[in-house]
Amino acid sequence: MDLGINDIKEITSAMSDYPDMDYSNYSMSFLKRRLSYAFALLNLRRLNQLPERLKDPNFRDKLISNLSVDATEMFRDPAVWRLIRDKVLSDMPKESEKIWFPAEANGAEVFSLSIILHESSLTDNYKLICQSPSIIRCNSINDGAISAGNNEINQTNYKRLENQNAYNSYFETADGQINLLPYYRRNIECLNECFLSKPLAENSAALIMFRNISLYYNHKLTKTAFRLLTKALVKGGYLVIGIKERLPEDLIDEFEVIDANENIYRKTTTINSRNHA
Amino acid sequence: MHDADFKIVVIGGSAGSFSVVSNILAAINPDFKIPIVLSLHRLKHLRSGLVEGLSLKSLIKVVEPNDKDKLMPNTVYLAPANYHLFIELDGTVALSTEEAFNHSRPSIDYTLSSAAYVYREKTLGILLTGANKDGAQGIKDIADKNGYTIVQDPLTADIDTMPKAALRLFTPNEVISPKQIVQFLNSLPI
Repeated sequence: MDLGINDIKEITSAMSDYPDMDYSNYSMSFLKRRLSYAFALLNLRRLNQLPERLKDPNFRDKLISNLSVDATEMFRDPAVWRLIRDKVLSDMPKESEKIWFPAEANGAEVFSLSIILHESSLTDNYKLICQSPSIIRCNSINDGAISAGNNEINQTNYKRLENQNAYNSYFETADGQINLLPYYRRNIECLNECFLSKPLAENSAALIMFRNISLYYNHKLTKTAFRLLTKALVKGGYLVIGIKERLPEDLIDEFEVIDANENIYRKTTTINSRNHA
Repeated sequence: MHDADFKIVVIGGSAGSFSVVSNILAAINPDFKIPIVLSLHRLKHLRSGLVEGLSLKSLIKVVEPNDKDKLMPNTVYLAPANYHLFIELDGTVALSTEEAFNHSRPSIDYTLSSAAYVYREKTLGILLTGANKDGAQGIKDIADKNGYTIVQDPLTADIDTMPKAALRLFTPNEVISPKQIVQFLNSLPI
């Protein structure tokens, strides 16, 4: 389906009548291709069918699930994970045990971190809290399911990071489905919520992983999202964003740069530290 | 013929295209104003090296953009490793980690089609040598929006799969050698 700008506005307006389905501040190029992609998968051939189909909660959940973009692979950008392992985990603020994945799509990010925590003997020090507005996605994450298609690249990335072959020992395979073993996901919980309407409480997260998510937002939603994340982070807590994303200008003073290449930031312990320096 | 008032140049290429692009950037007018966007197939785990390699000889600044960067004149933008690069209606870059397309991320089809959608007849699309059909549909999309299209002459290509795939889909405005591509670009008004 070739969607024009007016079509997209109509679609997002119809969707926003339902809870956690406000996509009106996603970027136009994303909506144009992703809505077409999702509609094709859901067999929606004509736009005038949409209002009726939206009344079905199963259709809505499938639509949200298909609009959600998978993190491409586990341990994407191994250098980021190396810094988390070597630098961030040893300096985490003590007053929180929460690590937040506000918009986890397919478990790739949270499973990567849970393996690193295990290898650092830190698993039981943290709760890994994921949120996804899709029930399908949440169930899959809670089951530890990973995409079999990404297994090879996951292993390659892991080997680049850890220089060992332990990757397969963390997973079980049955009927072609690969799952992270329950032992390594005992501290992971995925909540069926949209972080934009139900963010973590203020000053409650020690680390937030938010990589390659704001790519699909427009400027306005990007600012809104990063403001919520900044509030939720405890002072001295860490924020990791995608290597090609930027913090909004008005929040830069709230953070110190831990690594500019890998986009790792730490919330400053004093307000406007730059002005006080 | 073309009206020469291009707002963007988008170039796609795969195997063998690095040296072609490098030679184009080494011979281009240093005052070339129109933003140039490069969507080249590359190893996804090697983040550095390509922009540095192209910068060695380029007469114009070459950057790998961040998401939401505005396309500026007199600058070459290289699609980063392991990201698709789209162009937004407001002339900013939109990166994406969506599924590989034609086994490629960045996908040339995606970049070229999004440029065609935004800039229509003000788009200049160039498709170079490559071992994959990715890019053929994208450059046809530019032609379909009345943009101007150049396909590297398959006889001059290291691997001719990509230009030949495009020529099977449509007839571009020009089928020329890399040297003639440079001459074409330098003939555009600054």
